[in-house]
Amino acid sequence: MRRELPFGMEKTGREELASSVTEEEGAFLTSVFLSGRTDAYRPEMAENAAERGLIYPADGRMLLSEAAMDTISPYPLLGRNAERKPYPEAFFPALLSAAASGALPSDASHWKRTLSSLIAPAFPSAGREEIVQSASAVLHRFAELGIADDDGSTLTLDREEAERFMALPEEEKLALMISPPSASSLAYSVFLAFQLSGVEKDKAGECIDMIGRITGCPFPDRETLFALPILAEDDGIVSGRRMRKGKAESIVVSSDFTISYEGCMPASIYLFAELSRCDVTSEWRITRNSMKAAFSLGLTPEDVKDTLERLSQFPLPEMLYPRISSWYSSFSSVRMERAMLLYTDDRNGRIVDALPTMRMHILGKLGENVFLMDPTSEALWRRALENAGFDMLGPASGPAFVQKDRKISQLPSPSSPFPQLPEKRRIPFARARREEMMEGAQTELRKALIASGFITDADEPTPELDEANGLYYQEKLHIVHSACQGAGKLYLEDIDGHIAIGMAEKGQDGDTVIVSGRAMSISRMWKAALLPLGTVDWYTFPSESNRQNAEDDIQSGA
Amino acid sequence: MSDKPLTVQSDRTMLLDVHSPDADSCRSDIIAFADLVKSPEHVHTYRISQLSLWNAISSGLSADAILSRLRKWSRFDIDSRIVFFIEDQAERYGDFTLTELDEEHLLLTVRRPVFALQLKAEDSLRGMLEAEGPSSFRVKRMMRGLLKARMIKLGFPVDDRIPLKAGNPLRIRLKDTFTPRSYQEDAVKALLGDGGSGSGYGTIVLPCGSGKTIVGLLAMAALGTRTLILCPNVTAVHQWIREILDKTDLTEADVGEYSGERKDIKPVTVCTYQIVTWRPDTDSDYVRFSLFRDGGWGFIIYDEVHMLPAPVFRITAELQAIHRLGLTATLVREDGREDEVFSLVGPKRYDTPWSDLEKAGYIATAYCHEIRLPLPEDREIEYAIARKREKYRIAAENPLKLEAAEKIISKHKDDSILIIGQYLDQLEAFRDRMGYPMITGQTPNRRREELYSQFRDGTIKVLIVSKVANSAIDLPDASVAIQISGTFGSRQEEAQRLGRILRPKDRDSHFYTLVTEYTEEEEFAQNRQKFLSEQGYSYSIEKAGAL
Repeated sequence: MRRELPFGMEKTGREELASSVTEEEGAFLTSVFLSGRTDAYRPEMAENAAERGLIYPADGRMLLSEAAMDTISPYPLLGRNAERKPYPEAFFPALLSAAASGALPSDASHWKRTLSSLIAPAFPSAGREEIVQSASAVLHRFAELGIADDDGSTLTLDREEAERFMALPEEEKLALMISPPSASSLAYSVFLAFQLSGVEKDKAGECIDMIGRITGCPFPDRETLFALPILAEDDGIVSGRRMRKGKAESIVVSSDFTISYEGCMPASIYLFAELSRCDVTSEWRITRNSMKAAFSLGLTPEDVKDTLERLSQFPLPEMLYPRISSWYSSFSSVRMERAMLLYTDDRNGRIVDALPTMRMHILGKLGENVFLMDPTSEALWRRALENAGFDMLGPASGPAFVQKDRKISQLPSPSSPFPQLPEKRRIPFARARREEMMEGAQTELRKALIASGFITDADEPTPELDEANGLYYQEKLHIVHSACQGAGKLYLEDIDGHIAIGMAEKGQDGDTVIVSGRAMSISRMWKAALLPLGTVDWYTFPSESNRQNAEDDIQSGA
Repeated sequence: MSDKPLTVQSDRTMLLDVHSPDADSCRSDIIAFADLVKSPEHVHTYRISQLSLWNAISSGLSADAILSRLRKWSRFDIDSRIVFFIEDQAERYGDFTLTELDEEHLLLTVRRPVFALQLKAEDSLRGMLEAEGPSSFRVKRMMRGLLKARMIKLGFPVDDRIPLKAGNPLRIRLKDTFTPRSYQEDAVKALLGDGGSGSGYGTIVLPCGSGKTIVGLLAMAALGTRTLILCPNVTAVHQWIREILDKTDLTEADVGEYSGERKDIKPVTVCTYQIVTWRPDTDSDYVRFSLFRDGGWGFIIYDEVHMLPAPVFRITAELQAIHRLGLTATLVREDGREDEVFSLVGPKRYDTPWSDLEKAGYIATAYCHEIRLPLPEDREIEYAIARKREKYRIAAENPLKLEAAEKIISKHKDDSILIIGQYLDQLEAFRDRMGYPMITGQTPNRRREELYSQFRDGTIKVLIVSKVANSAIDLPDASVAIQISGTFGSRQEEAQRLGRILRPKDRDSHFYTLVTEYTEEEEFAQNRQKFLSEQGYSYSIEKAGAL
């Protein structure tokens, strides 16, 4: 990548450039990479990066140069790389499975007990309380979204909605739990929240806000991130949970009907098995009860067998299919269907029987004049009867069916994958090399240019400045004037040996200019020059041992 | 991820991929500090528990050694909680040590005085400890087992440094007419360890038919001391005596039977649990417990230790100075007292997956069949209106089972067949219809022996037995078992019954279980099969009509 300096020096050297990017700049560049914007940081950061050729605008976004791409990593932008607690991959499937089996009562006040005995023990790596809390929050949302329906006594699973939900990326599922209307854009924030690592608890808020600024979609509240299995706190240190990428490639089905796999669930196992454990390896078990739930959702023994066969590393245990089939024949030996009874007298019975418009709605006959009618098409056969002349038909007597109010889900479709961030920057910041170069630098100007990342190699000469000699007052004045107009940073050296670099501002009288907050007299100036805007602020006096400059600020990470 | 065979999980279970080429080496490394939970065909599950760790540490393994074995075999980094758990438990071991004090007492020393306060505050230890110093207590000798068991429950493992007593010596030599199998020798090695204070007592779990008696004999020969053997019934007593006389140089003069029939006490005495726990009435003491204290025993063997009755737990707690060996195939107690077996008789020292022994030919290859029969129409209504418990019995006593059993018998003309059932009426109905001899709890011992012996020599091909034959009966030639009913969902009973036909022989074994379809019996049958499924056995489901 070429970079152009205002004083006419050109250099190629991606490696040097990337290694001269400080950690703070690295964090800034990562933020730009993630958001396409620079406004989350001080404007000088953007100026410096642009001047050094690290970022450039395109299509209304800020893009990173190749050299800059080598410097990005979620750390330290989102913390320090610390040990993370694992994300409970089977968390959502376990809840869906519990809802499918009818184990969850409608009354939310009873969930806690059920969840702590049914769900929590399966997650040994997570705290019982945490899981119960997260699960309760999720169940409320499932009910709102129509993924789980309330049949008056228990929650039941809406298979179609559940399958759509499970097809979403994990981040999007969680975003949906936080705020359904903005789930699609919030998913990106959730993705970044997972990248948080080793942040002190009192600084976690800043990081979470930073994520909101990067994605443009802040979290409604921070606590939800802990209530859901996204962030975890351990000894005052907050980190996102460790999520494993990719689904398990295969499963193992054993003769005791356990299904085990490593990583994320590879198929809709939750529809026909119950979770025994979710850890490095997750283990599910097919039981009579779990199969009852599966059959209720419309699965057949063949469906289960096909799913398992497709994924299983070994041939399925011989007894699995016969066992499931025998459960199925028990399940289907007695079944229920809702119907309505239509009574007629003899004459009308014959007519109803003969009406072609009624035929498709009659499920069966209980006697000569008693018809079993399809309740789902009541409106249609009522009209058919009316059309046939039965205009005195009254309302149906007896208790009304609970009509399920089908919610058409607003679940978003799976979004495109999130940007992949390398765990470590490809070319690390060479702090030691920079310090060494600083030590070896002969002039303050060189030091300032090294600190600003313009000089990245010890062999690189200090550029010749287009400077005004102190003897020529008008030239000095011209440079100061340009600097005050924002053309660049002002480099000043006075006759006592003071050196200052910074943004210039005119002083109260015509002979004073203020550089980095310090008033300097133009008439006492020995040298003046314009430096790139991205140069760090610098101030030094030969007799002062403690120089003050922006390098200190950078070192301290300010 | 690597190709290593072990996955260590944060709940302290470990999954061993048995298809890995290193599975065997890994298994032998972890068995010292982890318990085998289940061993189906692909992945075996082990668990590290407090007890398993303490036992490993007491037998000389350090936390570092355990961790380095885990790191050697684990596919992923070990969770820091596991590392902490192992180091913490190892650290705790040694907080409490038990040493000799005087004739009557032992000395319990605690590492820090604060532990002494903790012990004093525990209700369950009240009356067992007398303060000796700020961080030591006197303990009555007879309380040794009970104290250790209670402290383990509280999470305070006691480092018992008192070596076991040698007992009165008795030279026992094994005859060279048989060669012990490698796993039998390994089991004895695991039991006896280095002979130090943490070894010489324990439980060995081996499948039925794999020669647990031989393990007992090897241990007896190694210890060379007077031995008391406890068995669940008289038939088993006779079997032990037969084996001892057959495989060692001991003679009838050395081996005594202490049972309802005879009361001989000799250097090796074999008795039943029932006889030692006899008492004139429920308020009396167990008068025969003196047998344990006065025999000069250096070694006690508890055969079928899963059947150990509660009073024997109590006397065992007193016998902590004697070498102890518990033998079982299925340490699944439906009463959940496995832990007490481990803490009083001794920890599990050896356990091996059934499928491994089957593969090596040490036990017979067995095929399990679940035969489904309908309930006859005339019983359907009776079943539908019956109460839950009665329902099971109606289903279990399904008369169609008779016909199904006949068909099975006709398919196995050359096999020796056991028909095993739970209900006498049902067994009698089978006997009346088929004419085969029957053994139940009411059959006199002499008659039982006679029938068993005729079955062994092939005079009788089919024998009908009640649950008296559930375990500890050695019928080497039986190759087919037909289970017509059982004790509800007992996993242990199912495994023991299968065990009757596992002696290696020149033919495969078949275990049939007759189940009435669409009834309670189905569900109980599935629960019964759980243990065996976890051992890798697979049941084929067949309709009776297809037999």
